[in-house]
Amino acid sequence: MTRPISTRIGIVAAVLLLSVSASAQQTKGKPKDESGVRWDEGSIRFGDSVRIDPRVRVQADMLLWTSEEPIEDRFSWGSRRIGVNGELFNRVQFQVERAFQDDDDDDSPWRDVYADVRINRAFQVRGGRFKLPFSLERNTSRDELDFIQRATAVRAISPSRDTGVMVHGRVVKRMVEYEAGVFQHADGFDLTGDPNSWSALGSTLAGRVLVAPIRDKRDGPTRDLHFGVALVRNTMPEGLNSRVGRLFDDDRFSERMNVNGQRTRLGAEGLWRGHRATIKGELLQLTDERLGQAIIGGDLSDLVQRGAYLTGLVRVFGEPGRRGQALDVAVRFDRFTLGSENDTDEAFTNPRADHIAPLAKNTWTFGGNWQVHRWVRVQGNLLRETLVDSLDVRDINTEPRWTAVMRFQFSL
Amino acid sequence: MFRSLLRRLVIGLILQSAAATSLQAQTTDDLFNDSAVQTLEIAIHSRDWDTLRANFTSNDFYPADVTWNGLRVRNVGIRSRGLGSRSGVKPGLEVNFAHYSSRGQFLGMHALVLDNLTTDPSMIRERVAFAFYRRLGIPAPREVHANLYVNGDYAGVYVIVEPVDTVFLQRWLNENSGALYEFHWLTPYFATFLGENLDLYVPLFEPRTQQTRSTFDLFDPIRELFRTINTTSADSFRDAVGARLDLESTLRLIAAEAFMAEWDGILGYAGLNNFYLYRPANAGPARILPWDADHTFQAADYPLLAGAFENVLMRRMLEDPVLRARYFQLVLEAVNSASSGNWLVDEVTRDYQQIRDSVIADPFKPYTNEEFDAAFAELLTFARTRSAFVTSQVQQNR
Repeated sequence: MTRPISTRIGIVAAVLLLSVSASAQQTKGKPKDESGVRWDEGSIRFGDSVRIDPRVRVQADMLLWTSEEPIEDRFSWGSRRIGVNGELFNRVQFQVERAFQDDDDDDSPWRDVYADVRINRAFQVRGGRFKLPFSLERNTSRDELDFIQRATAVRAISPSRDTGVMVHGRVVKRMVEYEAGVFQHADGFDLTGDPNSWSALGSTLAGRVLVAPIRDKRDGPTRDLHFGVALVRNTMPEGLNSRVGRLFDDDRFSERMNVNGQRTRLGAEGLWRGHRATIKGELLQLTDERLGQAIIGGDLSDLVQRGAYLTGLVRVFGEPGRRGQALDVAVRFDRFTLGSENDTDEAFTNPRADHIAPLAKNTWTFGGNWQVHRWVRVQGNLLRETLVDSLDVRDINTEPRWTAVMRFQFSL
Repeated sequence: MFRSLLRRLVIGLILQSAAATSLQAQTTDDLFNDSAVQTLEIAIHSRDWDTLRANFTSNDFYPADVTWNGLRVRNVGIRSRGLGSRSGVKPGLEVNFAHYSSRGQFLGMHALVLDNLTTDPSMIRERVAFAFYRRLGIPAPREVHANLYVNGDYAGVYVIVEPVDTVFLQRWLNENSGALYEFHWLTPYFATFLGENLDLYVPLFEPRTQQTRSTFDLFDPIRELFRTINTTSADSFRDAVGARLDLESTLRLIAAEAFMAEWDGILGYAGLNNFYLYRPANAGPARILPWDADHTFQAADYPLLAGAFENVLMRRMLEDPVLRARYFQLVLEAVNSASSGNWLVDEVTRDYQQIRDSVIADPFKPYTNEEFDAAFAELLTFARTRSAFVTSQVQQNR
């Protein structure tokens, strides 16, 4: 009989915790620098072996102007979360976070709930519920994003959080960082025990490798430089289960397509950070097999969704990091396309079309981020979203949509 | 041998060319050729067909291929349709050729309706009624019966209905750039003035063209039409309402409905129902176009003026001596048209005989074969006796 993957994860996490606890017991004889309970810059510390950071995040958004219909709801909550994270015995990092709002396409109010055990720098194990190792922007916390919303392709293509186990670490003099994990679900579908599931270990396998020749330098023209690639694979059950693209206001601009078979995500990312400027970007692709999905029963060509963005950011004043006051201005161009591997026949928009009529969305986002205080940030974004129906077969508005929005954020 | 090959090649080319010419030459007149039951085939993913039937109350579209007379249209959209006629056993269907591509069309049409005939045991009422409207010069959809096959299996006998859309408007009215509205029955409504709030008219009159225009542009003319119908003095009623509504065609339509004992139309038992309203682009008077006539031929002695006095428009038209005289004149024209050459009796008989084999083979119809035959007998009685009854009613009321 096969145990559910959540049980397996629990067992692995318990064993790791026990081993680390034992390891900590062995170091008891060492002298301590600090003792007792104290408050240290937002952290609660118990001696020097336990640190707990309470986490609170409140984001309030105000829609200033839009070129579309009259504004009905000008105010909305961007995100409201509480949680804790911290470190135990210098070995185990943990995070527990709960959202009071469906702000991240997640099916659970629990966001990150995991423990991360460090055996050594080259080998760490994380178990619980957390983000899959795919996409630089998806793996950036919402309160540290350069813009109010992630790029269209990141929202559409990157996977949500899931329950799983992941090994990760840094090797080759910390130049190479790797992450590899197995996760319970296939984009929200629990296929545990499904004989058609691609993986016997779980529904989704994910891996990411980053090469960082320069990291955390304190001077010089380049402070950080990294490149990376990522791969996520899982089996999708038959149905209208494709990913969809959304506009800023969360309205869908592409419909769900019938898929069945392997879902493969590929990602490439790059980041350069200088003294006052940052440039970063990603290329993302998601392909879905559509086995047996033709109207008359045969296979359809793969559904292909691609996207990319390039962000440029300049720090107008303030020091790097988030300690004090700072002002950034940033611009991002992102493009997302929907189509199929077959692009030769007559194109249609239906969920069983072999040649899916291509649809693209181009978005320019201009933004400013004012770090008022360590815990308070104000963001302003101006977006220009344009849908491109190159074959002119859709009844959609292809005029640019403009949106101006502000966000007020408290983040402890 | 070479000569034999050459002969085959030439014959093949001639046949291929003839077939291609035949396919190209087909028009909507061929599709709606009612001299025989047509055959329509739908290919749809079995999972989608099961979902459509299970969720028959939903308007979700599913992709399908449709074949008629050798012509195959790929990637059309089909959905369950109807109000009281909705069925998961024998779904009424809308076939939309442009749903998945704005370039999609079939014989120049953007859509077709496949009426499942579940509310009419005779299965011919609407076809006969629409043929009668057209005989009287009233713009009405063409209809033809069809044997429908879904994924190769017989799905029953349906009626193919021409939709009231821009193609229909162009064919009948020679222009289609105005505003077309489909009336939706929500509560009994007898053409009263609902008030100044345009939102009161929005759920009743669904725009089928010019949907992107503002609420004011679309619904102010509707509000003013009903204000005029209800508030204009008797002296100026004919001119004032006539500027907003084509009274001649409206009277003709109501006269035809009255003759056919339509109890769910303009003078319906529960208020206005089953029509489209079209406002031409030149700001001329609007026209009422009939739709969904499967409740016609209620009874041979159905009163000629049933519902006439509850409906404000009809009551006020009958109060105008000129319009009243014209109405009874048009009713008698309808009587003559139905009786001339025994048209109504022949039409009912011909349609019944044409579809009988298909109906008997239909495993999904909600009626027995005996109920089908009995409904035909009632219709035949209606066709034979209605003219005399209506004539006597005209003499009593004019």
